[in-house]
Amino acid sequence: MTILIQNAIDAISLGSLYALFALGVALVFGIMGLINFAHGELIMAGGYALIYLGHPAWPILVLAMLAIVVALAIAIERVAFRPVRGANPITLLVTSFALSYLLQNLAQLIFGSIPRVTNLSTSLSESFTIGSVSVPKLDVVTVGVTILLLVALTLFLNRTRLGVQMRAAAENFWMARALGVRANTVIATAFALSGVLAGTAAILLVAQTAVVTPTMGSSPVLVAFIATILGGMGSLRGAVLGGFVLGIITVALQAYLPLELRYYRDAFAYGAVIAMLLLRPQGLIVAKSVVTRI
Amino acid sequence: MTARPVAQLGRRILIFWWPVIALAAIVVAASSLSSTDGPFLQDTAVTDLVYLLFVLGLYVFAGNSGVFSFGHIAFAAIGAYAAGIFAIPVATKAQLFSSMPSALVHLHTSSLVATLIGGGVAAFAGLLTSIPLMRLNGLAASLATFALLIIVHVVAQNLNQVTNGQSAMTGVPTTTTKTEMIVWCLLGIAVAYLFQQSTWGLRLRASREDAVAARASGISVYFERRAAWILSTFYMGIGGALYGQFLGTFSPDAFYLDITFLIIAMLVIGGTTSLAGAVIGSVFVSVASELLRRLELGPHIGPLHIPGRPGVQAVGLALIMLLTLLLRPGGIAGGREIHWPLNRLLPRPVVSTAPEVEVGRPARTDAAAE
Repeated sequence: MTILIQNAIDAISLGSLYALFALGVALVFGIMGLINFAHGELIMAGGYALIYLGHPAWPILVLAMLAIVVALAIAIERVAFRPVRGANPITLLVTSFALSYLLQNLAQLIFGSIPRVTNLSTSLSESFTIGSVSVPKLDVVTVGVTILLLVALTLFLNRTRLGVQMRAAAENFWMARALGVRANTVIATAFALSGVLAGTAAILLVAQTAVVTPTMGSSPVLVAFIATILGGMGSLRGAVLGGFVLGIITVALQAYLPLELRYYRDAFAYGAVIAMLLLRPQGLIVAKSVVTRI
Repeated sequence: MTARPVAQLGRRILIFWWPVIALAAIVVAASSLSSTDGPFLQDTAVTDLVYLLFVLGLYVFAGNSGVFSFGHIAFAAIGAYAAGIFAIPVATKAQLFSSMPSALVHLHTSSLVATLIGGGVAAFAGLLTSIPLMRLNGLAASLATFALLIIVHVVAQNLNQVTNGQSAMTGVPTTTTKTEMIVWCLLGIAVAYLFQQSTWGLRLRASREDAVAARASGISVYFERRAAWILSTFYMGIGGALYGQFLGTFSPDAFYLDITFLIIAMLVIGGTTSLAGAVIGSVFVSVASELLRRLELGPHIGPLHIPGRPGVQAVGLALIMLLTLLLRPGGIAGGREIHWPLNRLLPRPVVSTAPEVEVGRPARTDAAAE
């Protein structure tokens, strides 16, 4: 029973981190049909920002770092994605693939490929102990921050003018434009929000691993792909759900798969992605933009 | 009186094969450039020719079908490992691969047969994977091929009995030579050309331009895509087998994201939708990366030595690719082939080659289908 609870806590914590990754990718995909490989490099940029900003007070560090990541997110939209806006999804995908490779190697050029270590998490590395179950403080913070961001994002999308415009654009971009929604504003906002999510994910990730490398964004972005495909491409709720489902699956496979098959865990996860694309391409939650109106 | 039909036939053949002849000349010229500067450049040339074969393989599928694949390198890995098992001498294998099943240990063939087996095994894997993957369209298909790449990589890393896992497959006789690679590449160019001019190729290219209209005209997009996929995985298998027999020692990481990026960059920079684009892009990127590599080492300009920085090559390549995508989406070739140049001088159209369709314009995709 203890092990089960311990695993459940791991799954929820991992799931919320995955949900953050996925949400960043899904936000941009929903609006411009772009699967953003370079989202991982936003996380990486956040990691390096944390190292180079040194040790100011917590709120200043977080805000400055988020500002850097958001600025980078808006910059890549302006420089790389605006010129190809409206091209077919595959061109967009290849563009973001190239951009991700560029940023990764640029980071290697500037910061070197040696992992940087940072002691971000000294106060978070302890655990609460309830009975025989130990809950790392970091897990609590991860889940808390994720919930906070989800609530804030929901409020933004439902209660503000810009948020409503974003939802309209996600549902039918051309119709929204025809009704006066500014494409540039909406897309830039989507990238800015994905920057906030990437920056937050970077803090949580670095607090967990304490290492920053030029390639640290690769696996989060792959996780985000699986989660968005599982949840339903273009659906934000789907992305969050997909993140949690993937977290649960990952922990469950790790815990209960026979030892000799455990190394193949990722192969199973990606096999599930292909199966999902074949059997239920619309995902767990169907985005409104996917439904064909006749 | 018989001379004229013979001359006309010769002319037809020349005009039909001209795109291949021109590209073959480019490849041979570019690879003979490498003889100018020592054995290291020779090795680079062999690697570049292997990449060309990979790009040709990717082109046969992606260029003709319009479905982009991130997973082709997985089949190169399969070909490399399959050929490696057959090429390593039995005694070496028994020594180096302690946990390999004995049935595999006793297999041994010549390097050519091993290469063909590599291609065959990859094509068989292509046949199997085509059944689910070719049902998908557009973005979903691309993502699924990406998933395939990761799956094959994970399996290659952990299937220690056959691949030696992360600790690399070693002891493969290094038999691949530059001449052999040139022959394979020219063969590859010719076959790719024949395929795209064949009924199957033309049907597939029609479905690339407008899948709905193609289906309405009785084309089974699924079947045509499968044929191209299987042929292209054969290319990848052959290429992987030759690459393995060039490297001698390789781990699963040799067939993963870096090389995937490189061959995609080559195809995109050259132009995805024509054979000329695939070949020119590959040659262009090979030359560019050699120049960038020298920049990375720190160039000597007279007595002056500019210190280099590692990573310049990769950054330069990524920049070229991004700029191509943003400024010239059709790539260098822009979807055109190199046609017989003298037609305008002697206006007698003999062979009507299918008109190349403009590429810069985004293809129509069915958003609802994704």
